[in-house]
Amino acid sequence: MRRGVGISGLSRQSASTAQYASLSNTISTQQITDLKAQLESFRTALITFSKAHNADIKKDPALRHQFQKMCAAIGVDPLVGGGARGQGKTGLSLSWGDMLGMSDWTYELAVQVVDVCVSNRDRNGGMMEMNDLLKKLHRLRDEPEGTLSPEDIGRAIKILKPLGAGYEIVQVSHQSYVRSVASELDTDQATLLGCAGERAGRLREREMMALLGWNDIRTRSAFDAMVKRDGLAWVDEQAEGGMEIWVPSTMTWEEAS
Amino acid sequence: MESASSKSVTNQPTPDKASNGTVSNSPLRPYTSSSGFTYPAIWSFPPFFTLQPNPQTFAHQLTLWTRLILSWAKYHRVFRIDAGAADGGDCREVLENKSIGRRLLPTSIRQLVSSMEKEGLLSPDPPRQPNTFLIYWRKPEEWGSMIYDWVIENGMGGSIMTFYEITDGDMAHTTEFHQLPPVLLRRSLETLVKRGKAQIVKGEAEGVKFF
Repeated sequence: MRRGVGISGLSRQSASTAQYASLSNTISTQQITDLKAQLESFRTALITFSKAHNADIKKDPALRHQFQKMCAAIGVDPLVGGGARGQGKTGLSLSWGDMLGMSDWTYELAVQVVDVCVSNRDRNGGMMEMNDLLKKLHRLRDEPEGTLSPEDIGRAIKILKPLGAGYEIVQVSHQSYVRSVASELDTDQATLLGCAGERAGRLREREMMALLGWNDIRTRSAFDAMVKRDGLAWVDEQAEGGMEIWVPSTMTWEEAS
Repeated sequence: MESASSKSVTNQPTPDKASNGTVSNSPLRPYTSSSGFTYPAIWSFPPFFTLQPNPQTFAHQLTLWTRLILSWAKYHRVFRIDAGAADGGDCREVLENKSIGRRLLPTSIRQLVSSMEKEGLLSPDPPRQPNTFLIYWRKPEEWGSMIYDWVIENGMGGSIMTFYEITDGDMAHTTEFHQLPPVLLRRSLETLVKRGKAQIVKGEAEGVKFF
């Protein structure tokens, strides 16, 4: 735009600026309305889709993952519902979970996670290896392997948070564990847990001292804590050549079906 | 028992050294002995044979041992355990896993036995001594009912049968109480007497009359 000279030129310029501003307002309002409408129809489509493919979403982890991502992109949490969250952000998302029919599914899964973790807690001290957990869940639900993914477990555990049960996924040297006891895993225990995972569950006191450069007191007290305090490991007093403990959660168990 | 054959060797949970120096995680599997009894995977878990110091773990372990002994005894029709014998007497086979070189030691056997006795699953025989016990993988009440049903079904209600006839007679071969130890038979019949369904008759040989 060429700027004219003098007063009239100045006022002409400010007038057109105002016009441009008003035009741009109209355009963005229009766009927002359009976007809202699009979003609305997308949401509607999402509901329709989730209703039509409910069974597939529940069966196929890949589809379920995609579906979750789509929902997250438009700020919908398809899992929240049933009122267990109660952290202010209820309202709309509450009904979303119910509308999409995913909340019941996840609650059911969460209950089953608790079931399996608690039933095995006496043996493994409340540390459940992820693959082991998935295997047991598949068996419990009578579903083929691969129906559930670690992400599903993560979401199920998230909705357990308000219960204060202390369920958490912990990462110990490339292995995921679901921890169902509230006590903290100290660093020495985490180290030993990692070592046990690499040694088919078996930890020899002398070997660990040499490997980790720990003195006998530190090693023994870490062993004792795992066995006596936390029940994470079982002691084998009949082992030859020093103290040995075994960590069941790092081992693979095959039970007769 | 000498069934610790090649099958049990593959059952070793001892980790195998792989070529890269790490240890492969071979699963603990149930083990089926030559007699056909299937031991649970935990029977091949070496620390299972050490009673655990953590109370929760210990309680769980006792439950597993109790279950194992009852199902093992039922499978093999073993009726007694000798807690005084260093190897558990008739039960030595289940109390020791030779393929991993672990056994329940006498002090542990005693603890297990006293726990099972508290639950009414073991009963001292003779009474009031701490060594030899009857194993109740069926309670005397259950044996009693089983015998009673069998007697009635076979039309022997009202007649007198000797103890021997019940457990070792011609008709007893197909029953579960075939060769039930006399002391257990007596305790079972006494439960029927209490319920007014039988009366023990003293004669040349002891007998019982069913109503």
